[in-house]
Amino acid sequence: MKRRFALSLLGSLVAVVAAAIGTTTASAHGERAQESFIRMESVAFWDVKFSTNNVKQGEDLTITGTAKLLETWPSNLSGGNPSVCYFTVVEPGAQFVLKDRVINGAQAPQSVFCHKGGTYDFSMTLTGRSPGNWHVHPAVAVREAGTIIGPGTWITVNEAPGGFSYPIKLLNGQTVDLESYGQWLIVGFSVATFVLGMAWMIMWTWTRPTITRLAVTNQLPLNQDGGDAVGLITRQDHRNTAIIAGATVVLVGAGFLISAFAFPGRIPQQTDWITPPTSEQPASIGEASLTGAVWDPSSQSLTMTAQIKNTGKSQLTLTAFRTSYLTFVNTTARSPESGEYQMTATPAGTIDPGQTQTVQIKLPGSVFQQEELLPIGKAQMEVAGVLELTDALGTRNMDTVLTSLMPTST
Amino acid sequence: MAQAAIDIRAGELRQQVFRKYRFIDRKWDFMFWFTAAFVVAAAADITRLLFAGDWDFWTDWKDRQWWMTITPFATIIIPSALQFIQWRAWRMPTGATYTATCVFVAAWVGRVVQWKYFVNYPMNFVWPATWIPAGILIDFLLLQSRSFIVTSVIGAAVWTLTFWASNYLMLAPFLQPANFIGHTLTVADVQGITYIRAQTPEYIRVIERGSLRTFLQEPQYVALAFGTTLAVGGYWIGQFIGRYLAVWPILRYLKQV
Repeated sequence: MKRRFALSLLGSLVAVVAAAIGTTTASAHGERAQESFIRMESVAFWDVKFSTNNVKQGEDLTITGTAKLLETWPSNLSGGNPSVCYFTVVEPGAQFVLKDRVINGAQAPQSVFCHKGGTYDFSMTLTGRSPGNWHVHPAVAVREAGTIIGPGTWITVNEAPGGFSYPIKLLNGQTVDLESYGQWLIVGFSVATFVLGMAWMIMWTWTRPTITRLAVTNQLPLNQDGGDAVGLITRQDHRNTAIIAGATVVLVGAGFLISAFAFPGRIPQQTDWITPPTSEQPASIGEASLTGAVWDPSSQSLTMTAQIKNTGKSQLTLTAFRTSYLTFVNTTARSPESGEYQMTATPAGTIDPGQTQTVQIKLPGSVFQQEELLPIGKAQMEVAGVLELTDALGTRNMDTVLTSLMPTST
Repeated sequence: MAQAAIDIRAGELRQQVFRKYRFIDRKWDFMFWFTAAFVVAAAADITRLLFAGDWDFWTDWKDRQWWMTITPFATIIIPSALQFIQWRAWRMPTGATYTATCVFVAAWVGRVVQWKYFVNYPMNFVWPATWIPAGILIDFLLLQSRSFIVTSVIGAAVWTLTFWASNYLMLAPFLQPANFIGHTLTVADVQGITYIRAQTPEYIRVIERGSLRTFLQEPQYVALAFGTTLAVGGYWIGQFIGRYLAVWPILRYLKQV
């Protein structure tokens, strides 16, 4: 018996140690779990930048970028018409605090009214809170749809000598640390109620048997205890319970009054939703659409056929294709930055004003596979995103495109 | 003559109350109270999570309209069931206090381990509400009235009002107005914005957002009255669980053996 116990103890210890050693930091936030066509057709992110990837506790970093609720927004999300959005950050727990949020130039503490086709330039300032290496994404949560995640990066938060505090100023002029404000009132009062609860339970259970009382209560009607003569409930019990109940009333009543006087000017939780200003859009310089997309499993390539019309006054270049949180850069136009991928456009080169050109866009299928963005075998086999067109003056258009995906084999 | 018979009967019962059983000693009582605590805490916490989870998790959800309406209903169900079981079996008015005390410990352990140390939210944002004062008072009411009907009607109101008073006093600091990026918000709102909840966007909060159906612009009193009414329903759901899902099957089994 002892040997079996020792073996099971040893086994448990080994399991705990193995679990501790084998644990790796979780880095994904479920971005690949959402269905690919929904990710591609709902929101496209671009120009997402992190001001730094290394901060100390208490230091700020800013995430900027643009998110567009695409015209291809799926009809099965938010009834086809997104109306309330919350620009947020996805990170593991509360390792950062969000200090500021600006949407299209307006400060937006809470949710914003949004719409299909809307383009939103966002800026979110975070402050490092907990030391560690954290994977951080900007994201857009849409009411009755869910949270759609943008491109992420690793941010290191280094320990600061003084740790972390987060002072905020109340309207009465008092400055409080949000990390611990009101904590002692919560703990103190909660513990006081626990003491009363334990006093009640000890009073009823400590001095008398419990289980065997069933033999007596079975012989009494439900609303009777037999009184002092039987001894299930005595006068002393009534006196003691009245004292504890009275102490409870005094504790709650006095606490309520003290709290009411100590924290005057209370207001209910606020709903402060704004309609952000419309993002200023550049003049139209081109029109783009997709006429088809083919997935070839043997060559691991995704080829899209685009019709691009130059409606501007200078030469037009297809510079990138952006879908979900991925960016594919036309290498003849510019070099990819960190986190971006390459694509090839055929024919390469520019499109003259007034000209319409058919362009074959070849994308690396491995990236789509890795990100689980190929909707092969899904309910809607479609590819969507935005084609980025740039003219000689640097004007940039983002044209939403969508087409059916045709695999050469399934 | 009749009084003498009653006295004799009472005396017999009294002997049974204080009888020393050879094989059922106090260790069994301790084992019972201790092991039942886990089951009761789990049942009560799951019921709370099912009906009023987010209202109990975050200060910016603890509002005067929905929190006060839904949480008393959600939290009175299991205390009511335990009240019946413990009164029926042992004539102990302890069911509500026992449940509240068990769930208090379970909730604090959960919040500290899971919410503070695992995902790093500050405790002043994720503290659990206490039901213990409400539990003591409705147990006291049952002891005095010996009636589940009286306890359901008056006790539901006592439960709702005590729940409100005892938790509102802890919430009060967080309803102070503060200036956050040029907007007037409560400290609780600022906590909700500041401490990022990736999958709980702000718009998902079910809190008072204003309506044309308030009484004299006071949604709180309407909420408390409605919460009291709902709590009466919750109390009788608990009674159903206690009477027909717990005690009745056990008695039926005991009769068979």
